Amino acid sequence: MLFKHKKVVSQLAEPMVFGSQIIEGRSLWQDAKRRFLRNKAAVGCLFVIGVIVLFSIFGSQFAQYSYEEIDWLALSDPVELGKPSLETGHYFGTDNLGRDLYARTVQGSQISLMVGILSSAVAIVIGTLYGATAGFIGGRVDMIMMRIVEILSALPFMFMVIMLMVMFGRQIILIFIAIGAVSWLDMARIVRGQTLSIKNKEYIEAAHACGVSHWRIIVRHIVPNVMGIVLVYASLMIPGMIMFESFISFLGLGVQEPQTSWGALISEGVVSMEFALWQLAFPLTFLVITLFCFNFVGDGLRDALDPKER
Amino acid sequence: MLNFIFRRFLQAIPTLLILTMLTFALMYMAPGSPFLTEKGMPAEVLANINAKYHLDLPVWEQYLIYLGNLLQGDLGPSFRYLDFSVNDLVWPSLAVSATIGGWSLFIAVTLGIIIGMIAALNHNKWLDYTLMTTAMAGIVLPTFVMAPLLVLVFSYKVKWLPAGGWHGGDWQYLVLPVFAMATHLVAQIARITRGSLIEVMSSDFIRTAQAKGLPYRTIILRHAFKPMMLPVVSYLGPLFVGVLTGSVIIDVFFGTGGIGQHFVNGAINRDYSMVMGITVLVGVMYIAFNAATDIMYAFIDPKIRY
Repeated sequence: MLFKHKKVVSQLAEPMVFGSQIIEGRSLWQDAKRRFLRNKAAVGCLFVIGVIVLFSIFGSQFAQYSYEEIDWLALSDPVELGKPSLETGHYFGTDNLGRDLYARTVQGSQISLMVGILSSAVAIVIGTLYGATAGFIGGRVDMIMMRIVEILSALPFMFMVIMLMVMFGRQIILIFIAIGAVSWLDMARIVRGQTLSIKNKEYIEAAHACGVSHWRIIVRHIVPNVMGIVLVYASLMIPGMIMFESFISFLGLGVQEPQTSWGALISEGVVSMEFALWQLAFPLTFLVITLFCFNFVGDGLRDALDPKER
Repeated sequence: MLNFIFRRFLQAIPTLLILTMLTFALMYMAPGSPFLTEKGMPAEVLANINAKYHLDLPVWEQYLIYLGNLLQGDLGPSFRYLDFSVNDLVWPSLAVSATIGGWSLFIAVTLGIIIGMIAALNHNKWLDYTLMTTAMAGIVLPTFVMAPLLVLVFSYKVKWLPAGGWHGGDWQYLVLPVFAMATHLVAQIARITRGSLIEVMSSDFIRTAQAKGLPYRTIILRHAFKPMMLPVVSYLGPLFVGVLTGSVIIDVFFGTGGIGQHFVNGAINRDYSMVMGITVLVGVMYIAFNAATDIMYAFIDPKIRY
């Protein structure tokens, strides 16, 4: 019986043939992809993000120095000898301690992007599952779960995170946990709203009738259907996370030396911007371009996935 | 309505309790003690000090004492600045922060709404694109980037304005901090206003108003303005957070002596009572502001039942 059923479904999924013309159905995702690819700004930005990611991964191959190595010659006069130049091998110049800024920018990009992407991923997984569960089960469970979200989101987490960093030391893992713990709340709320609107659809009822367990319905049927809005939100969340990490690093509470991040580099660059502007300019450019591009990609995705835009 | 306001404030109580519990727990778990000096002190003296500060009692009793002090507005003595209480240090700097924050909020809301409306009413024209690209630039330039850039241009290059300091709040000393803080917020509000107004303008009641032959100004100000404000008002809560976190950067960078400075110094000096005091203080303001936003929202939106 079950096999037969599967066969019927697979037949339906095949393209219909009218005469010699083949008419293929377009899924929501194919539609969205077409619309996204037509958005020049968003595609361009996606490309730039790709380049920056590649830079953070492979950039160190081209560096003449390691990110913690001190060039004693440049240290003697960082303003003159530490200038960006191709001859000395310091493409982006050096910082005040004579460390190669190119290598440090590569390293900072790694940390910043990693914090941005990983902590968003953590927040999205927790938020989506939490929101979908609350919305799907409903009733008293929903009420209690959303009440918890409400209470947590009323706390000034930025300050709590700084307090955490101070009291338990500057560890990158703590940044992940702290940021991730803060930012799943909005996600949970959004996903719950979406779940409420699709949980009475026929295909969910069908799954119920087939005896699929609650957990499986949530993971296999609800989550894929809220993925669109999750994706849009995620692309807007990553720049937020990068900014948050930079903010903490700027205050000197983020990553531990000799590791660095865009925020930490900017905070060092600010100190010497009167006489060595390049120390601020390079990390700042990377940060701003990345944030700009993520925002544009997010807007593009929102337009592409918006059902009203068809 | 009064009932709703009262209920909304009652709802804030559990949140506040959890906030104090979390901060207290963090402080309790924090490594080290403020009274452990390098030289060490006789056990009897330490025991006396511990008794004085109730450190010898069980945790829950300590928490209750802390809560009791808090209710009386006592944030405790500073661990770092000897002979100062946290209250002595915090209140003067709160005035500074309120001045900067108030101006920033004022500029952000008025300018943001005006820019957003102009962009929305020129939807998909060059003016719209220019304004929104500029707004995007304002969004991706965080306060900690904006502040140094402003100083670089206006203090080092053209030398119009001082690079930092407070001097009793002279206007020259206010301009750069306020602008550094407001840029980001203006951009955010402009984007929200624009999106909201575009949506409102395409709704049925606006078409009806147009069909009646109402003048353009009346349509915008009478019919579109109020529904347009809904998302903006709900952004006011996060806006306030922006002002608070922005003040951390502003105070550190410009040395204006606002509350953010104490927070960071307290954090670096491990002045636990100071950091906790400010966290609780900010938390209370934050929660109160969220409640106020909700109430304001209920005033504007007739669909909300209370």
